[in-house]
Order: sequence, then structure tokens, then C-alpha cells
Amino acid sequence: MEAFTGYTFPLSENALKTEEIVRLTGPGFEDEIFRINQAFLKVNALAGYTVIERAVTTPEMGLKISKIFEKSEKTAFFVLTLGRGYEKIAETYRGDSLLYYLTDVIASEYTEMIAHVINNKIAEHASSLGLGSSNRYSPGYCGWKLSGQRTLFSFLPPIPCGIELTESCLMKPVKSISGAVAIGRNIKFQKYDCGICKDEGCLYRNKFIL
Amino acid sequence: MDNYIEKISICIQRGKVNFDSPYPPDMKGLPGADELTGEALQNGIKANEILTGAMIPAMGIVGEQFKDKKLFVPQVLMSAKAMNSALKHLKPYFSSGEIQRRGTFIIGTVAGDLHDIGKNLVSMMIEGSGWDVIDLGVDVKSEQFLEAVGSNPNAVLGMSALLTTTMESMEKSVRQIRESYPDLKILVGGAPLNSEFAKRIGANLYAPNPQVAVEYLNS
Repeated sequence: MEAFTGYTFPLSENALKTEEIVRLTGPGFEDEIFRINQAFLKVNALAGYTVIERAVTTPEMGLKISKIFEKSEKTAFFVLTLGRGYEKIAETYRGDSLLYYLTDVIASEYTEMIAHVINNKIAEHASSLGLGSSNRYSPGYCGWKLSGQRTLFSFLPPIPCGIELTESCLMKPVKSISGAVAIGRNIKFQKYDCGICKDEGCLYRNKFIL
Repeated sequence: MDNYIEKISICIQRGKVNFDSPYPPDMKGLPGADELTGEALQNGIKANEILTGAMIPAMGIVGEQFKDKKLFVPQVLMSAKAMNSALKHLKPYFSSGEIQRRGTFIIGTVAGDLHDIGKNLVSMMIEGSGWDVIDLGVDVKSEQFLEAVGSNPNAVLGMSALLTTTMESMEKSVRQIRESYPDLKILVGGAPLNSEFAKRIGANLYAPNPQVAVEYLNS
């Protein structure tokens, strides 16, 4: 098993501003957002990645993602999670539909932000070797079947960052992301990569994702 | 009378729950759907008039606006809260039979799936359109759906899935339920689904948003 490089990211060091969240929720709930966001600042996100020293493609990746990864020389598999910290906050607000929804939105934003950070860490690692790196890809998106989670997790230590897969390939704790980044001399980051996916309704369509 | 009906309708459309609620900011310090419904009943306005003249049409407008992306989810949730605060006053009239629900809607997220935000939103919108809603929660097994349908013979069933893997659970549940209840109306929803999938598994409707489900139920 290749080494797993782990990180702890206190959300307080990457705090979202209320106005950043308001862009997603609409105006009128700034006080509620501020209050919930304060609770998130006590959460430590966990993340980590493993670099496999070869190109890895799996049947579940689908043709389009496989085409990118088959050109790679190394393959990084990563996971990240807000852990139990998020679940405790969500439990606090579960009984109030508005606060529960706002908690979910804020958690999703922090999760994406940490995914961005870990993607940067992998890109820095690739750069230090004089190699390029791709966008991050995750099971469930861009044609990569969700059942591919099992293969992805097989490249990681058992229960990485405390994340377990359910029978339906849902990650627990929720608000976790797993994925892969291709690394190699001929690998480049694509600013917009939605051209490889047919999902017109995707939440991330045409959003800038490093 | 019209004044109360109109005011309750506006409170629900704007998400003004009660006097203490600071939302929406321009209605701060005014009575909300809660107080106005109580006052309307005290002033002799019929419960049915409040339900069918104010509450249900107001939630219909909210649903349309949400479908047209003119409202954010929190605004819809506030409208649903305002609706619920008004509904609370009507409970005795439902119990006495003076007013009736349009029917019973059973909803749940299928086995293996723990997502509930979308399900909750649909649940609130359907309740707001005059239906009694039985929410089975998340990770609902076929047996639980079957038991609920068995206990509510004329109900309509709604199922939610947010994962491609749990779409398989949905298919399995629909097929199992269809064996016992071939004529049951089943609605399905969730981000990875589409109309073709709904048709293939034997569901009656794929609802891409809550309003489509409401319109189907009320048609």
C-alpha cells in the first residue's frame, strides 16, 4: 500500500464569509447564516491522498475520464471529510427546516473548498516532480459510476480519514468527497471540463473546479 | 373577510410566520400567518375559506415561482413554515370533518440513501397544497413502504433517491410494491432520475421539482 499523506484543515483558517453563502441561499437570512457558520469554525476537516506510481483506469470511470487517466504516469486518489463535526451541527438544527437547509449548504461549500485545497496539494506535489496534473474527478460525476467508489477506496488505507462506504457506496460521515487526479508530463488542467459529461442538470455544470 | 384572506395569502407567499419573526425584513413587527389565521377564525371566517381561498393558492404561487427559479429554497421553506403556522389553527376543523384534506401522500427516501433535503421540501409543498403527508424518513425499505401503503389504501406514494446506486433500490421497491398494488400512483424524484427511468421502473411520474408533483396530485 502506497503512503497516504494526511492533513487536518481547521475550517477557522478558511472561514467562509456570510456574503459568500448568501449568494447561494438568497438574502434575508444573514443572521442565521452567521450563527451557523460560527459553529462550523470549530470543525476540523480531514483530508489525504495516495499517489499510485502508474496510470490507473477502472471500468467504472467511463471512457471519457479513462482517456485522461490512461495518459498519466501517476494517479492520485484522495478523500476528505468534515467528519462528525458536521453531523453534530446538522443534528442541532434538524428540527428546523430552514436552519437544517442552511447548514447543509454551508457544509457543502466547506467540503468543496477543502476539495479545492487538497486538489492544490496534489497539483503542488506533481509540480515539484516537474509534472502536470488534471482536474479532480469523482465517482458519481462526469460518467464515473458511483459503484466505482469501492475500487477507489481499495487504493486507500482502510477507513481513510474515518470515512466508510455503505453498501450503496454512500460515504459516511456525509459531507465527504472522494476522487482522483491524473499526474503526468502530458496532463493538463482544463478550466472547464463539462464537455466530457452529458449531465445537463449537474450542480457543478460550468462552475470553475480546480 | 377578503382582507384576512388576502393578508394570510401574502404572509404565506412572503414567508411571514408570526409577529416575532424578523423575516421578511419589510414585514418586521407585523402579524404573520399564525396570528392572522387565528383572528380570521375568531371573526367568523370559515376554515374552508381560509384553506382554499388563502393557504392553498398562496402555496401554489410559491411553487410556481420556485419552479421558475424566482425564489431561493430558504424563501420557500419560510413560506412552508408560514403555511404550517396557519394550518395549526385548522387542525380541529380537520379532526371534526368540517374541512378535508385532498388525500394522503406517503413519502420516503429509498433504502441505502440518507439524503433528505429534497424530500423534505417536496413534503412541505405537498402538505401546503392540502394533502396529509406521511413522511417515512430516509433509508426506507420496501417493507416499510408496503406497510404504509397498506395502512392508507387511497394514498399516493412518493419516493426519492439521490444516488445512482440507490436508484436500484428504488426500482426494486417499485417492483415489489407494484406486485401488491398495481394501481397505486407512484411519483419519483431525485437529481439522477429522469422520465425514462421512471417509466422503465413502473412509476407514474418523474417530478423534477416539487411543483410538478403538486400539479400531478391535484389534477
